Amino acid sequence: KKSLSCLNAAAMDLNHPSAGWKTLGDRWYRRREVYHMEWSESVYPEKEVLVGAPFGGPVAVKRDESKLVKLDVQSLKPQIEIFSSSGRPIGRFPWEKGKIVHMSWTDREELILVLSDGSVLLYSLHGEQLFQFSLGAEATRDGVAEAQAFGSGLVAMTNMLQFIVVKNLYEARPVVLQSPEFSEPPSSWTIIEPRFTNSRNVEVLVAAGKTIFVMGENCPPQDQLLSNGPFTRLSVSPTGKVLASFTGNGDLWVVSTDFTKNLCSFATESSPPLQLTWCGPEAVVMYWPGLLLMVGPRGDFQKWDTDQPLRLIEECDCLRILSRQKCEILQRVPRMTELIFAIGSASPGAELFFALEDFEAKNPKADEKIRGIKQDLTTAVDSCVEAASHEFDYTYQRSLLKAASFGKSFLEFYPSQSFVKMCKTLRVLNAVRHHSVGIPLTIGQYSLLKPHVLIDRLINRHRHLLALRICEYLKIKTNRVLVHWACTKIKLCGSSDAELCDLIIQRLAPIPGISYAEIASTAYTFGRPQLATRLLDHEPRAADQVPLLISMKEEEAALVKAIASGDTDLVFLVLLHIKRTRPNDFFAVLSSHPKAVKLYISYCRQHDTSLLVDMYEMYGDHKQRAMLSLGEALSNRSIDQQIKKLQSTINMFRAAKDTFNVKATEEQVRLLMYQQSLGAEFGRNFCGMSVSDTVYHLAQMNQLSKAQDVRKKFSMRETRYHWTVIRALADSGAWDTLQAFASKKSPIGYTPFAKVCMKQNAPGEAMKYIPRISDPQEQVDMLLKVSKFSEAASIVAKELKDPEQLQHVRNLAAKAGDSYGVRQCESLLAAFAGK
Amino acid sequence: MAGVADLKNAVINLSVVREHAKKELTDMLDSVPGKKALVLDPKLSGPLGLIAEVALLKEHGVEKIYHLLPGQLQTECTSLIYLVQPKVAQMRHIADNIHAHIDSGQKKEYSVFFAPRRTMLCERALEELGVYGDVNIGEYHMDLIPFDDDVLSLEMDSCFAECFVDEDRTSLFYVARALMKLQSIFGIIPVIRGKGHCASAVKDMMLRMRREMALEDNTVVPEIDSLFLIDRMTDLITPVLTQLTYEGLIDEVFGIRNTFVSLDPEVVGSEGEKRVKWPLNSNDKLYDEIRDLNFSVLGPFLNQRAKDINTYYEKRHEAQTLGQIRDFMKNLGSYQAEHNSLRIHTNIAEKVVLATRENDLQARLAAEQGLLAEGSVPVEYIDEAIARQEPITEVLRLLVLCTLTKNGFKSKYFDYYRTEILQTYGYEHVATLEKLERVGLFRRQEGRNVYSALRRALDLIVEDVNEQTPNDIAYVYSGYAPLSIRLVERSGHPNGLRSLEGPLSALPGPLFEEKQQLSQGVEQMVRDSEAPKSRVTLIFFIGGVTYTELSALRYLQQQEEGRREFIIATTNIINGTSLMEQFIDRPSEARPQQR
Repeated sequence: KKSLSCLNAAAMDLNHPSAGWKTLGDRWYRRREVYHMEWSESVYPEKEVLVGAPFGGPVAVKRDESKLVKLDVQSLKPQIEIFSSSGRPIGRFPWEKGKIVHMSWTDREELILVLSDGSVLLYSLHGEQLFQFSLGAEATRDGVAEAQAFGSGLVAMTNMLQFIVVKNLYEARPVVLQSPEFSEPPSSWTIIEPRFTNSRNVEVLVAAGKTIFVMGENCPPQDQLLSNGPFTRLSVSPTGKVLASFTGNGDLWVVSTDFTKNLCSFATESSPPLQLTWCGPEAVVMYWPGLLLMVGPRGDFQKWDTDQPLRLIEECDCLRILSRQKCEILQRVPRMTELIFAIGSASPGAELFFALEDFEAKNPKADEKIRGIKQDLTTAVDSCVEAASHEFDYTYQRSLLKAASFGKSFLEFYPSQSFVKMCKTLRVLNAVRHHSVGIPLTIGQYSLLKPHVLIDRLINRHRHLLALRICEYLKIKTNRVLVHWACTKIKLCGSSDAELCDLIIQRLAPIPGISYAEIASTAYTFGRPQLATRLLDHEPRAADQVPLLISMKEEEAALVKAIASGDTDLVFLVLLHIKRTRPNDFFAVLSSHPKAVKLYISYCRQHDTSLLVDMYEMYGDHKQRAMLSLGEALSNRSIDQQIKKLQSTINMFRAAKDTFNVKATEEQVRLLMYQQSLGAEFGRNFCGMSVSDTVYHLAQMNQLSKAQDVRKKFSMRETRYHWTVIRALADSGAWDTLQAFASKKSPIGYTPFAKVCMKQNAPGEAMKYIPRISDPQEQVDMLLKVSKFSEAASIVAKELKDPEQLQHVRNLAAKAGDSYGVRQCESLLAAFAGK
Repeated sequence: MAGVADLKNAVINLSVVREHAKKELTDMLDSVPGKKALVLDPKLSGPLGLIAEVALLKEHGVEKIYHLLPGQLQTECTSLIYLVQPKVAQMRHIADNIHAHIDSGQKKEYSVFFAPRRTMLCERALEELGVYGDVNIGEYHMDLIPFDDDVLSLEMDSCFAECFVDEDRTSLFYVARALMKLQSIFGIIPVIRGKGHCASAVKDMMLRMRREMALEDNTVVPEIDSLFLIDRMTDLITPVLTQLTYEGLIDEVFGIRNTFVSLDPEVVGSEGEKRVKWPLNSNDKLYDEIRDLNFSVLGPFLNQRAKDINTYYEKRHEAQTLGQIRDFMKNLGSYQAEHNSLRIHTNIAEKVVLATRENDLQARLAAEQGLLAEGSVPVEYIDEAIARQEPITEVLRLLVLCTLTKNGFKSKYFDYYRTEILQTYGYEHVATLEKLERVGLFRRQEGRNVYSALRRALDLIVEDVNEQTPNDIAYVYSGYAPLSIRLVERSGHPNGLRSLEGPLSALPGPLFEEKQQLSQGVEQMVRDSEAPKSRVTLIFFIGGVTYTELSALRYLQQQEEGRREFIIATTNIINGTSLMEQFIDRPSEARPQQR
């Protein structure tokens, strides 16, 4: 009752925001003009093929060869033109390459053209050809009849009614789907994008006869066993869940894409519409010349008469309608907008909005209204902010935000970040929606698209300055924008290398870590190698710099950079490239970089030692050459081979003037030969043992005279010989032999004898030698090791005369529980004290 | 995780580093859908154990774990993930596996993940081996792995030999990358100091990478104040010395692998025959107290502890009131844990004593200390060690120590020891000796004696050192102050680096200090944060660090009383033996055959 007055006011006001809203069941829809088309003088949607990209994307126009056109001079040559959504020309290119069976846009806003001969071409917004590929042998042989694209893939139908899928246009691998034998061309077909299917592969729906077949990669075609066909139009909803179809008897039939849920049927009693599309996920729109018909989920409908030929472009949350004069958007009225602007709404948001109007008109009712919604003021502010986000019109945006701000002033606490963020978002949206840019994004599309994708789209349109500003405004890195700008400059600008380089460096230098590689690569591709080299000098990332330098045939520069980076893998990359492409220069280049030489050597050691030989010979490194040969010799399992190899190693050591190793290697050869004869004698393999080990084994075999022979022949040090023999004897428990051996004068004394016995845990054996130890201290130490405390004590007392050590012996004896030893020590200690 | 340090007391949040590694590991596993087998480079399985336990791998679909070996791999799994170091030899093993499967008609999916990164060389090797088309390639950025509250390691075993012997500096690149990762977590480190060619190369790469990555956007307030890069070439004396701290000796005697030591079951009081992998880290409170002690004072310390615990247990009888009993019970858990730990460490210490007695540690120490004090070469000791055929690594350690302290051998002795080594340990060690000579670790006398000057300038020998209550870092070696740690200590003094310039000029490579500019925003934040924090110094050892050096650093930190804290990072943990091992090629065990 309260809002009765505003109801009246609104109803009379044709400018009211809700003017022109139309219902579809309990929902409201609105159709708003966003642009007056700049192309109105030159484009005839009724006569031309016209395809638009989603997300407010560009529109490509091609004269439709299937229609008769009155030719004017301008359009004599067939050409394809690209416009922004506001009809502003972006690019154009002449078309002379054959029959186009399909034209559409990728999700990077690149134009795909599928030709009847099975080739697929991609063009940029500006009409440059990016690349092309073929749909494969079947397509070339049979010719392509129709195609449909999605995101970054496409499906084509050949004239022999085979379906070919390309999942990724950028790495095209055409796959022919398994399909039933169609007797005649399908009455229509469509696709479900991979992101909506369970298999994550694209699925193709083909209407044949009265039924529909579902086909996909790696699965046989499934007949859905329908009987209400033929279907002359098919269209999958923006969520991929629902299929709209138009049947032969003029019915619109809506069914879930798994064909389990029959959702709606609507009789039009008409011939098939020119276009069957979706407006958001809930309404289907059909277009016949002169009539636009929208059908809702419960069979509710709404229609518009239209005198202009139209072209419908489906968006995820609305429908873009293009005509010669206008670009319009048909969308469901967002919930918040409805709550505020619907006639008679008394929602908090609506109250707040009209309170502001009253306030501005100095009407005291304003206060009353605010007090009336005091409890819900936060909600009211929120809804005004959200409603503002859905408006294209600045006036409404402004008044809604003003209302929100007005409401905010009555709130003690309101988190203003969301308000500020929305204002920022709206500024960005308004900027890109501007006629001169022509990207009519809704807030919903913007949040799906994400700011950085929008930035990419702007730079693809060469709107670098705007993109840069938006980046700065939203605090996004500007690197991509600047790099793209520089590349574009190089492509389009005729200035000298020096000027361009300066211009680019000046602009990019303040940005830390910005990559110059892509720019340099562009310069190289566009025939400016010097500019490329100059720019590349500024590239901080060696990993980007080096490969490019290689491809620019600047291998030496690449090598220098790679070495400087410390990334050895990059160094290998360059080296192996030079080796492959310029084998004759390889060593010369390598030699001038000592660090690279070291690395290459370590590479050769892992991969291929034969390369090492060349290296060492080249550099005259005889020592390392010998070491290598030595390693090879030792890895040889055949003894004769080993000897042979060692003999050549001797020469290398000789060349290296390494007299020690010449001698050592000669000895080794001699040793191996000697070991061979030992082997023959004893039937045991001695080969490869060291001199000491040979003696050790001979001693264990009780061949002491042979061992002695080895000692003499290889001038083995006497002391080491003795040690080795007694170790061998003790280790094998040959105690008698050991004793016999000890009977001769020992050059190492007798401590080692005791030690080797103790090592075998044989104190009894050790005791045989301890008395013969000449050094009293050593004798004491060994006695303690065999726990002979009293004996140790008497030597300490007599020979060493060291009471402190005697005390130590006493303590050890006490610890070991040797009471006799303790007593001995104590009496000896007493004797000391008595002196 | 069982046995892995919980990192609760780290000055900077090292568990983030571990979480990073864990997250990336699970991401790697998840990138291959379904059940799979993990085939591990044997070198990676230890380090991986510090990042994730088997249960986690299972959760992410790993059914079986294998080691990568040449030849065939028998498995029922149809999806295999290889996690390997980027070494060509490993590529050959992978190719072997795959070819064997193909030949026997088994169809499997293969993914190869390279740690720490994929290289063109390995990919090319796979191509040449004809399996490149069969595998999916990925990377696992395994970098620094937290060992304990204050230690991180890259676990690159052969870093020293690669960098300094072969001059293949690939590992330095990984060092720099790991440091960049630390900086991305803990902020740009404002000051980088260091000594040595490799240290300087790492510094240059860090600065370069910062430019490349444009880390200006990094808004982390620096948690690490300075970085000290130490090149192992700067101090090779320290690692060849016999370690004398408790932890150092455990490493010498048993060998510590990835913070675990393998012990006989009876030592840890468990049943069965199998050796037990026992964790050594600060989770064990008692161990945390004793790891850095000079071994000579460990016995009395453990005794005292045993008494304390006993006293506590006795209190049980005195407890009368409920309150007293409650107090008793409150601490019972921690005392029981300590008691258990005490029992095990007493056992370990006994084993260590036995081993040192067997190897005549006293005589060896006498030889080492004599050399450090610039006495003559202990010819007799070395001769006997060779005659007894002690492990070659132990002999080489001594010869290296002689070279370094006495500025090389006289020609006659040089040839004499070379002959002794070849005759005793085999002719194949011509290569070992050549490598040692190349790096200058075993050579003829030439030039002036660097050690002599350093010893005086840096007070490397401390006469009246006290092992009980240490008064200098030299307590760790009972009188010798490790040169590397002396550097760290002195560099912290005012004007410290400048004062080191003279003495260090005789050692290879530059001594440097480089300031890293912080971004303005971060500068502001640093100024705004008023809380006086202790300064954190990250010390990075390129080419390895010993447990004793860690102990000496912990001692230094105590002396700073919270003004300065150390985090120690290293390419790997070494001791004299493992360092010498890096010089020894062991191509095949098999000896040549006689006809």
